Amino acid sequence: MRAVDLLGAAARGITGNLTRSVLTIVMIVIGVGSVITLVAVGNGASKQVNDQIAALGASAITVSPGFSTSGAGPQLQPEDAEAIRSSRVATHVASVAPQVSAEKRAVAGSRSVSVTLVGTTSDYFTITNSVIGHGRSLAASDALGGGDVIVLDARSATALFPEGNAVGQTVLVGSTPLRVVGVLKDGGAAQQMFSSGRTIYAPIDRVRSSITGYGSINALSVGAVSPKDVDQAAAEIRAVLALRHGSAADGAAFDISTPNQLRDALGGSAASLDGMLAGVAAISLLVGGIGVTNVMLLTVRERTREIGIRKALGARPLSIAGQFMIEATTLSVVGGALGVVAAFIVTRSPINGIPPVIEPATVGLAAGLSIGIGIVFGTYPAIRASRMDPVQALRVGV
Amino acid sequence: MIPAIELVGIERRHPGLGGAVVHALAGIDLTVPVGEFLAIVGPSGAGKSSLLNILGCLDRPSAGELRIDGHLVSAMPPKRVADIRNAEIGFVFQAFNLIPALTARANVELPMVYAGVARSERRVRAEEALSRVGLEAKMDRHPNQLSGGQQQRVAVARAIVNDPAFILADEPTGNLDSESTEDVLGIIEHLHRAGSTVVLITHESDVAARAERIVTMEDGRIADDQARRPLAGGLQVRR
Repeated sequence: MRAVDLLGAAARGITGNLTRSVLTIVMIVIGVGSVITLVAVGNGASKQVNDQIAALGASAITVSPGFSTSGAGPQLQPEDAEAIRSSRVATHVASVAPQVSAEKRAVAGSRSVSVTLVGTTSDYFTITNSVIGHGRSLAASDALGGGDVIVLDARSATALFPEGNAVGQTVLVGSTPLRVVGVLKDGGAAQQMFSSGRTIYAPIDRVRSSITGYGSINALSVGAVSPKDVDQAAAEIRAVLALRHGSAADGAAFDISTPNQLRDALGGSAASLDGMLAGVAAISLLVGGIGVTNVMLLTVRERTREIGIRKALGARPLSIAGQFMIEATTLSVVGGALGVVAAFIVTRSPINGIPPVIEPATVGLAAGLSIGIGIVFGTYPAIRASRMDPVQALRVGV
Repeated sequence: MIPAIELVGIERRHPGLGGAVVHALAGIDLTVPVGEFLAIVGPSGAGKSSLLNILGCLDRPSAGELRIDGHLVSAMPPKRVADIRNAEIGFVFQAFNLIPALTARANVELPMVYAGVARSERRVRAEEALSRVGLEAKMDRHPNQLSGGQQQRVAVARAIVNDPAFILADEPTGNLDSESTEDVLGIIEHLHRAGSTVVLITHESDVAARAERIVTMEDGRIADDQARRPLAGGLQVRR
């Protein structure tokens, strides 16, 4: 039997019972489509995590005093910032921004809200990827004018000056009047994930001189030279701090958190989500495969007589098996192709707030799987057909 | 000269109730020379169907040797047996057994499909065979658009299209009215006169009377084997 005739026989088998063929294809479409879509959602979720981390500053390292069970451990000093910045060991550190903070009430006109007042330098905005929306950033020259300036984050700006034009206005922070010189752009979902409050920023010297005092500082934000240098920079920071604070500074004396740790923590949950989605998808693919077996078994049963006739006319067992194998494989390949198309259509809009990201490898995998399903789940019915006893087969329905 | 069919000591046993063995065929020796028109008759249960299945290579004998056109079929693997059915046997069934989804032409082409004949040649040969049974005008009809007699003529065309060693007709007129019966038997006789070997299985004596030799089965054995009339025009040699 020629290959082209084998294909022709299979094609007639498919068109012979179009409804059933279409339903089988739909099963495969759902299976393959959901594999690609769900894996794309998982991908989208982990991409979102990475984007969020990038939005927070992919090379930002935060150093804070660790919690010690024996009471107060070593505290961060402003000199630590200087030491890290000027250390010859810390070659992967680009910039350092010390921070002090205090919870205050901010009053502008008739409005009063609670805010976190952060004393820092303009480097802080660079390190944390914060962008000035209006006005300007903090500047070293602010000290010359007494340093009575603040930069508002988007939320405190909205709360204090709902009508906009915050720049140039005066805000009473605690009892200190400070002039707004800049407003940050909204950091979006990423920053809201990590801080829910309103924050305003002032020059660190100004905050220390009259608000928090000249004690220890709360944290250091350190920018690595590039995102890939983050782990090395963290190690260097640890070394510098150990040198300055002596043996007390080893281990957990200081908490040095990097975006990688964050990514691992968030990525871990994304990975387990991924696994679950892939599992659900695999089950629907399996169900589709069993559907193909079921339909092919029905088809073989329904066409028992035809199989008997074909055998009597000299069809070899392999020709019979081949015809049904090709039918099954064609159904699942068509289903697979349509499933890919369906997945591309479905994933054009966000699913559950996550913009899905289709990975080309998944498409290849799903396409391969659908061919595999046709072969694996079509084999048993095909072999049943090819082994049918022609005498029995011809007796059916006489 | 190699006979079209040669059966030596053919037995077919089935397991029966309570461990008993049913001898459907209990030692059949039969030789059918090329060009003969043979009828096999007998009451139901005599073993006609069992013999048909053996002759058609649809079933394997439990013992004995079956040769078709000199090929020892009883020793062949299933793949080769399929090829023998394809090349050497032209089936005509009581129930016509056409494939409903295919046109008359495509049904006739089917044995050539399994023989690996190219499409263009299949078309020519199918049309030729359909002309021989007088259906050149109905080649593109589907079986359900044809009368019973016409369907059986399509089946006859399908049986002869691969130029088999013999035509094996199983109650070919069992589902036909008398007019169609005459039609189909006429065509079979015509093919026989043109040189085809025909084995006709029937329980109707007037149908059997058309053959030149009648073998009567009883209890799985050949009870009687007689020539009915002299061979028309002597022994005709096909090929």
